[in-house]
Amino acid sequence: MIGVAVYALAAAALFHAVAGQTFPDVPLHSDTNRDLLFAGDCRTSETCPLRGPPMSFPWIHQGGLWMLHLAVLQEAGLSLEAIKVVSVLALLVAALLMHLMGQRLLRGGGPVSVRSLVLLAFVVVPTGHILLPSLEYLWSPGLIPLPAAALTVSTALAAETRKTLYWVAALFSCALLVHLHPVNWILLPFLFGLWVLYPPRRELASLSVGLVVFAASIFLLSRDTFWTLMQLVGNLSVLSTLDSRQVFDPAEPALYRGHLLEVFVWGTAFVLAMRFGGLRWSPAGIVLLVLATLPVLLLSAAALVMGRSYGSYYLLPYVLNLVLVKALVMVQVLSVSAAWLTSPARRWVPALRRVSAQSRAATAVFVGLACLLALSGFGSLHPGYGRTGSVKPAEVGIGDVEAVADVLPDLGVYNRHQALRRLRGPNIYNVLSTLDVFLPDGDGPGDQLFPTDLVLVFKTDRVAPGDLPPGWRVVQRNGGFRMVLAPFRTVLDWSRLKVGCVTGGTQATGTRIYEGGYLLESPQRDGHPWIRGLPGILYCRALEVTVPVRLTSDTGIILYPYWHEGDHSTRAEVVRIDGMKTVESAPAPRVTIAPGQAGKEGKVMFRWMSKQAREFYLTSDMTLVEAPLVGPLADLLPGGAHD
Amino acid sequence: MTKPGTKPGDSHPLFTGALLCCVVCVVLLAIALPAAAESYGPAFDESPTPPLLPTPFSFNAAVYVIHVLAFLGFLGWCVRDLLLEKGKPERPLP
Repeated sequence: MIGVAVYALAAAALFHAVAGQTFPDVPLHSDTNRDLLFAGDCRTSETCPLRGPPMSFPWIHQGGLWMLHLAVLQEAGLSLEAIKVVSVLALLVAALLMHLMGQRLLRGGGPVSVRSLVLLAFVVVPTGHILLPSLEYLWSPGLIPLPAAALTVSTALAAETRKTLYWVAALFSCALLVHLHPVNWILLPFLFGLWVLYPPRRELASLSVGLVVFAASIFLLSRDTFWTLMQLVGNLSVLSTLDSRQVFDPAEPALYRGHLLEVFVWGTAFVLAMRFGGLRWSPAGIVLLVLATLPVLLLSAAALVMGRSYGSYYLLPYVLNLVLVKALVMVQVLSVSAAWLTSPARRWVPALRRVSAQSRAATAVFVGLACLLALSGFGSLHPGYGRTGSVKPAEVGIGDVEAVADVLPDLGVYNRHQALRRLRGPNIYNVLSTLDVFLPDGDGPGDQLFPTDLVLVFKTDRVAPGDLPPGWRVVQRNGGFRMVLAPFRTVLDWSRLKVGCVTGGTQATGTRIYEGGYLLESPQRDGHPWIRGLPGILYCRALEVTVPVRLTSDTGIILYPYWHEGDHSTRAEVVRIDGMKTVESAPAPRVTIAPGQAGKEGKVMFRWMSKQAREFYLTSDMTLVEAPLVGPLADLLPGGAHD
Repeated sequence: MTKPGTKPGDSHPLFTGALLCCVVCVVLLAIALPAAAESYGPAFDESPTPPLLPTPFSFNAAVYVIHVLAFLGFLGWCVRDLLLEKGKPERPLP
C-alpha cells in the first residue's frame, strides 16, 4: 500500500508539473492544423477514408490512427486541451511502465526503496524532458511513448515467460506504432529476431496469431498504411525513387554519428552492468538492449549512408528504452559507488557481493568509467532528441486563430480562399492552415485573384487596444495576449509579378506541387489559389521575385520576404527597391519605404537563397509581406524592436 | 543440442518462422503485384492513389474503441505480471 501511495504521489506531482507547462493553449503547428482538418472531415463527411497525411516521401501516407484519435475524442466532447491531457497521461503511463520494467531488471527492492525512487527519477524526468516538446503542439508523436513502452514490456515478458499472449501484444503494439509513424516498420525484423532467440512455447500460434492481429490492426485502422506495405512488397524498386528533398543541414552528420556513439557507449555500459553489476542477465535485459540500440544504429547508419535526414521523432520509440538503459546503469553506478565508498560488507545492495568478489581495482575502473559516462551523457541527454521545437509564450495558439475566425466575417473574409488571398503577417502559414479548420470551404462571389484589400494578422501583448489606429480589430484572450487585425490596401501589383531563378535551374514542368499541405489535397488540388496565374514551381538555388510598387498615400510601407520553413540552408532578403527612398538600405531582411512619397512608382526585388537546389513556389509559406508604417507595427513585425 | 522447453524431434522455431514468413510473403505478393502493376506502373513518378475503402465514421470509431480497449487490456495484463514479479524471491546469487 505504501508503494502504491508513493507511485500515486509521484504521478500526481509529475502530472501537475507537466500540466502546468502544457495546458495554457495549443500552439500552432502546421501538422496539428492539418490533422485537425482531416479529423473534422472524418467526422462531418459521410465516409472516412482513414488516410493519414502524406509524408515527405511523396507516395507514402501516414496511418489514420492519430486522425481517428482526434476525431473520436472530439466527437466525445473533449476539447483540444483535454485531448492534450490524454497524451500527457499516456506519457505518464509509459514512464511508469518502463519504471516497472526497470524494477524487474533490478531484481527485487520494494517500491519504496531508495533504488526504486532513484530509478523513478531517472526514468520519469528524462522521459518528460525529451518527449514534452512533442506534446506541446498536440502532435502525433505525442502518442508514440505508450505503445513503445508496451512493445518493450510485452516483448520482454514474452521472452521471459514464453507466453503466446505477450508476442501477440508485442505485434499489436508494433502495429499501433506503425500507424503513428510508418518508419516503425523497421521494428518487425528485430521482433522476429527476438522471437527466434526466445521462441514461445506455442511457436506456430504465437507467430500466426500475432501476424494476423498485426495485419488486421493495420488494415482496419488505415487501409492506406496497409497498401503502402503492398506497394513496397510489390515493387521494391520504388525504394530507389525515394525523394531526397530532406537533405542534411551541416550539423546533422555529426548528430547521427553522435547517436551511433551514444547507443554504443551506453549499450556497452549496460552489458557491463549486467555482467558485473547487480542487474539480472536475463532475456528481458537483452530485449531492452536490442530495442534501445539496434533500431537507432540502423536509422543513423542509413541516414549517413543515404545522406538523408530524419526527424527526431523517428527515434521516439527507442528513446524511452535508452532512457531506461541509462537509468539502470546509473542506479548500478550509485549502488556500487555507495558500497565501494562505504563498507564492502554492507548487504543492502545485492550488487555488492557480486562486485566485491572482483578485485578492488576492477571495481574502481568500473565506477570510474560509469561516472565518466554519467558526466558526458546523462545530464544533457542528447540534444537531438529535444529538437522537436519549443513554444514561445507569445506564439499564436489554435484558440487565438479560432477567435480570429469569429471576427473575419466583419472584415469581409468568409471562407478559406478569401483568407488565403487576403491575410498576411508573421507566422501566416500556420494561421492560414489553422483557419482552414474553422472557416468554410468554397469561393465567394466577387473574389479576385489578386485582391487589393488585405488584412495583416499578428499577435502581441505589447500594445494597448487604445493605442491602435482606427479600423484595427483586437481579439483579446487569456488576459492580455491579443490578436490584432489591421486592414490595409496593398501597394504591390501582383498581376505584374516576375519570378526567375538567379543561379540557373529549370522551371518544373507540369503543375505538381509539394503535397505536404492539406490544401493541395482538397478538391481544389488542380491549382493553389495563389499559384494560379503565377509561374508555378521553380527548381534552383536562388529565386528572385520582382514586383511593381505604386504608392497611393504618404504612408511608409514595411516589406519583407516571408519564409515559413525556416531551415538553416535557406535565407531570404529584400535585394533592392528601385524608384523610391527607403529607411534601411537594401539588401536587408526587412526594408521600409520612407513616408511622404505618394504617387511614386518603382520596383521591389526579393530573393530566397538556398545552399543547394530546391523547389521554390510562391504560396502561403513563402510569400512577400507588406504592412503600412502606422501605429506600433514597425516595432512589432519581424526585425522590429519588439520582435 | 535441444533448446530449453523443446523436445527432441521438435522443429526448430527458426525453420517454422521462416516457413510462415514465406507463406505470408507469397500471399502478400499475390495480392500486391497485380494491384501495384495496374494502379501505379513501374515509374512511381506521381503520387499514387491507393485503393481506399471509405467507411462510415461510426464504424471507424467502433474500430478505434475496440483497439483502445484491447490495448488497455494488454497493458493491464503486462502490469499485473510486472507487479506479481515483485513478490517473488530474488534469484540466489552464485
